[in-house]
Amino acid sequence: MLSALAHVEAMETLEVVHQTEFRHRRLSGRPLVIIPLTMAGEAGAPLAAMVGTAKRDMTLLVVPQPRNRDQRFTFAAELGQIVMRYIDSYRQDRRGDGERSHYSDAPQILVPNHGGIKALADLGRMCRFRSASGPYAVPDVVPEFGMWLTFLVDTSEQAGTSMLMPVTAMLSEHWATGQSTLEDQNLASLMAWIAPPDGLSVEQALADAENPDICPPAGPATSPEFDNRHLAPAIQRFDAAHTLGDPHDLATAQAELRDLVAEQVKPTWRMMWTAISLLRSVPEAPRTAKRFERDCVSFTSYSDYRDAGGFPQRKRDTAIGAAQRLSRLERALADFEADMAFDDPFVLADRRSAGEAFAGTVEESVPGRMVTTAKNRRVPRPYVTLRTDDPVRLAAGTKLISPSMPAGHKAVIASVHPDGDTTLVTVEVTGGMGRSRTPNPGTVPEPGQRLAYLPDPGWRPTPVFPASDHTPWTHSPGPDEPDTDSAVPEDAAAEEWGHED
Amino acid sequence: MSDPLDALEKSISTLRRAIRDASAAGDTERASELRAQLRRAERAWDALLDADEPAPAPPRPAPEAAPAARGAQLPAREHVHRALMLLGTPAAPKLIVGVHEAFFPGELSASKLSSLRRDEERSYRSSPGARPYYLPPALAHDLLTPVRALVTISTWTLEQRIIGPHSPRVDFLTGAIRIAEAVHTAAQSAGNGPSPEALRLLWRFAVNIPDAMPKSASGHESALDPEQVIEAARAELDVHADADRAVRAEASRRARKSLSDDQQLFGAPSQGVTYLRARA
Amino acid sequence: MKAPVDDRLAALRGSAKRRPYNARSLAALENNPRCTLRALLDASGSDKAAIAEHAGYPSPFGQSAFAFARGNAFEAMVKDNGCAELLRVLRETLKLTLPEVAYLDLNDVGGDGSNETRRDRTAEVLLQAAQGTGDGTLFDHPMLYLEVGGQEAFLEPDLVAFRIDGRFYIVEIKSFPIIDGQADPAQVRSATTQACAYVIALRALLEEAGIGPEAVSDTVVLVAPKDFTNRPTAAFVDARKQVSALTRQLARLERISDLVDLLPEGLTFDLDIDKDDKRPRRPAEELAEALEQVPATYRPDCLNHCEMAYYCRARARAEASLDVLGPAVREQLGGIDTVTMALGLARGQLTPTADQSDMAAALRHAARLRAELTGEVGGAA
Repeated sequence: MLSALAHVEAMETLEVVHQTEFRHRRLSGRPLVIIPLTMAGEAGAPLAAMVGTAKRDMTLLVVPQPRNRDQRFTFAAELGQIVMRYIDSYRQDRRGDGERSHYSDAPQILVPNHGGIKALADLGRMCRFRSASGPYAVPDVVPEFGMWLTFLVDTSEQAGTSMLMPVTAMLSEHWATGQSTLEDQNLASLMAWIAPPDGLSVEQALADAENPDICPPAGPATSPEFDNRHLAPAIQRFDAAHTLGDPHDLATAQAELRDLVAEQVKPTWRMMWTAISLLRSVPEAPRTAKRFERDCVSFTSYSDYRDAGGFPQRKRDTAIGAAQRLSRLERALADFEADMAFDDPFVLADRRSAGEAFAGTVEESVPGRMVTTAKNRRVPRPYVTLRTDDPVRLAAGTKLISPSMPAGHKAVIASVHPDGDTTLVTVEVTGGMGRSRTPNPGTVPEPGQRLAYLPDPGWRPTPVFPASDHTPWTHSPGPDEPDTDSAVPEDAAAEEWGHED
Repeated sequence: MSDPLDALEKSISTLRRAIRDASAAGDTERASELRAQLRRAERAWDALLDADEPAPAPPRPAPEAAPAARGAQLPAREHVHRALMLLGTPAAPKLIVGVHEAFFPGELSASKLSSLRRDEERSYRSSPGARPYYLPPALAHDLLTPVRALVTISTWTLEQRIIGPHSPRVDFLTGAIRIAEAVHTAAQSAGNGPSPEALRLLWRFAVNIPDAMPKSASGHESALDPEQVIEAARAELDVHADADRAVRAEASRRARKSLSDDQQLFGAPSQGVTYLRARA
Repeated sequence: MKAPVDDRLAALRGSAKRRPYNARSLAALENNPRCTLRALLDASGSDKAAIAEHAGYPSPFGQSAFAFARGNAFEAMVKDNGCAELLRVLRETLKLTLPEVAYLDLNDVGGDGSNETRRDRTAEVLLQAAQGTGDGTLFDHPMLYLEVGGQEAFLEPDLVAFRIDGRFYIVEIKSFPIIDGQADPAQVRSATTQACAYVIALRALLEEAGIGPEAVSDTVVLVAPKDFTNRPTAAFVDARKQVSALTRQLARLERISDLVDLLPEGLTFDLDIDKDDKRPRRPAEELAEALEQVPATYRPDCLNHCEMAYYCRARARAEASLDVLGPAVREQLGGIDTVTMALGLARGQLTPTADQSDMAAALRHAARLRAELTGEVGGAA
């Protein structure tokens, strides 16, 4: 409700409105920006990529004829080398001992939008099963790059991870605009709201953002107008020069293509770095560091798996694998949402306004209440009653955590009673009181104290799955099973890629 | 961030807006002039970056030029004739080019083929029989009108040149057998064996015929067995042959009765054309 | 009853040539069925792109030549050599038997490519097949016909397959890939919606011959490139829901008169195109006024498929309509239509109606929380 209101306010004032206090995503000191462009109408036909770790350090890779399979894999190898060099630079400094040691830092790849992630996912899928030997061999780096891309894309689906992110998602998490989610995925439109160019109103900047002459699309698709008017003729000239075999003409055609593509991608490149510096100006949320440590662990584990020569990720999860994955993603999302609410009063308020959390003043406290556990032990279980203005929608029995209490504090809702315009919530404090029979000082809320509670994401039991699949989800137990729907080997078929007329 | 870079970025944005305005006003000349300016500005931006950075990746090496034309310089229609003779069935230009590249030297392009087809009827009508053969289109079994997508040889029987509902499949299977035979012959001969193009062509046919592919999982072209392809294609051909032959025979009887000699080659007048003539 | 409605629709279109319905515009009915503006523009056969442009909102829609070429090349490849590739995948999915190969080309009839001739020929051969007197299995580009709101619509599926057990299947050939058994859901959806129009039209054709709807499967066969190759694979798409949804929308079109009756007398979207320089002579302001008379239901999603979307968005912005923000926000603020209303209630400056009172309380609460955080007193600025 609060964030809905933020969007409404932004619409009224034509200015962005903060909807978080913090940036909840880690921003690497040296992110690798990739802007992938693809050719319309073909999956996995890369057209170009601009890539680099600083605004001034960029490489533009262009596929002159995206329908040509060899050129595609040449491109994949070149991009793969750059990305692997970047990833490898994080596989150096290891902390901790033995099994539990992990790299102290992890890579971060930033793309403009979700489409950029999809393009990398396709590229990863295209590359990871290629072979460096045999018929249709590709350079060594291609399958390696494909497996790493797939790993990164997989992590990006998990809430709270930071190794591969669309910048639009990072921006719109913090800033609420007066436009729709759909339009927020357009980097230029989003930036028009957050930081319109000097001398332009948000309105003017928005109009510019949707004009491909001023702001070419951030990819992966290029504008149809550009395709038809500029790119198609340039590719044709390249093909003609290629057929005739004149090295001078070929070089000219290639240079022309590069210039054309550069014109399309550079505005986005510059905008990406402006967006990154804007994001840097937002303070990082406290719990981000802890989540990043989990990134480092998962990065290390995949890195070790690669070092051990592991198999590429399977094409499709097994049924159990898929269920585990879904459960893991749900859990990560719940954890991340709780983390954000814990760290960030804006997010907490948003959840309060939806009745998913509450804050109020303690009216009554029974700190001395004791109960006997099943094991016949007497333990303190104080009752605390709060009065809140929030529209509480949590039921008795919900386990709670509190950002206002010392770490480890746990409680469970005993009862919820509406009282006029307000609500009385009684909670039973169940944890964080120390080991003795009387709670440690300061661990039980006292009358007059203001505090907030939100559901503990950790309360759900971890689902148990049949143990038939012991291998981690990223790891395929063996070479992929042959395709059931056709006996046609894919690499042989891939030969027949392009158009013949 | 260095100031010249900022300044340049600003002027790039300004240029882009000016291009938008020029295009909106329909001033293409101005727009392309501005585009040239924009390109110069972008180059300057690159140059500024390069001033203290290593140069971006060098342009990729030029892919190898296509191999020079090889083999005898036969006229294009001779190439087509030869490919069609190998196939023994009406065929689309794409397949004709494919067969040519797989088994014969010399250049033959699809575009050359389409201009060639236009010439055939004209040449026939100006002096019928002046050439030993013509390359007319196939005929539709029902209306006996030309099926322009398929090329045949005038010396073939009417039955061979008529297309019934089963004929596309029958011709495909027949073609598969002929290609497999040619591959087999090449493999037996003293030369270099079948070309990679020939194997690929055969593979493209074989994957679409039940039981024509070797059972082993590898399935690359080299693993193909032409005899197995022939056997599989014959097996399916047996299923369709009678139905196809009946339609073709009936249609050619009709054609002989109702069509003039040149119509038996180039087809009954197209309905669209009659319609237009009737109105003119 | 029909004639006056048709007259009204013709008047809406004015002097411009009627733009017939096609599978794409019928499929669009599904996207935003409640939009009156769109329904009227389509039913009257008006040129939405030209109208939007003259109203000052040129639609940025265009197809990349690459996508177009790729689509055509893929379809041609699938149908090459007697539909060799297509037969392979249909034998796998539809379990066609070995003898089921007969192919009928309906792209033209003896060189005549007119819609009417092709429609008649299509009807002839498809009915023969259904009645067991023909031997076609693969019908290449048949021309189907449907009457939509009293207007004719010609519909051309990529292919119709007829199985020996007496069932027709619509086959859609698309060039977006099916990677590891998965395709882009949005693209599958739009392909299926298009196929639904074909299902309905084919059923209508058979119905005239007394053949029931079960003769046309509402499972559509999608043929698309497998993974990153150029070779096809096929997948079944269950179109039942979409077929009945589209049937409903078509029935609504039959009642277009209800919408037309609400329009002011003399309303027209005519651009009054100059015969010589092809430019609209109608003043843009006048056109804008005419458009404003008709309610539009804008959703951000329209930006992806409707030529009028940019016009409608501008209108929604000018009205400060919450439609601008999209369904996520709209649903949270159910029953509230505008920014003014939402903020008025949140700030306690407006008195809520009875059914707004819960929402108003929630908004005031949210505004109070925000004010506490931003340090503002007494609600948002």
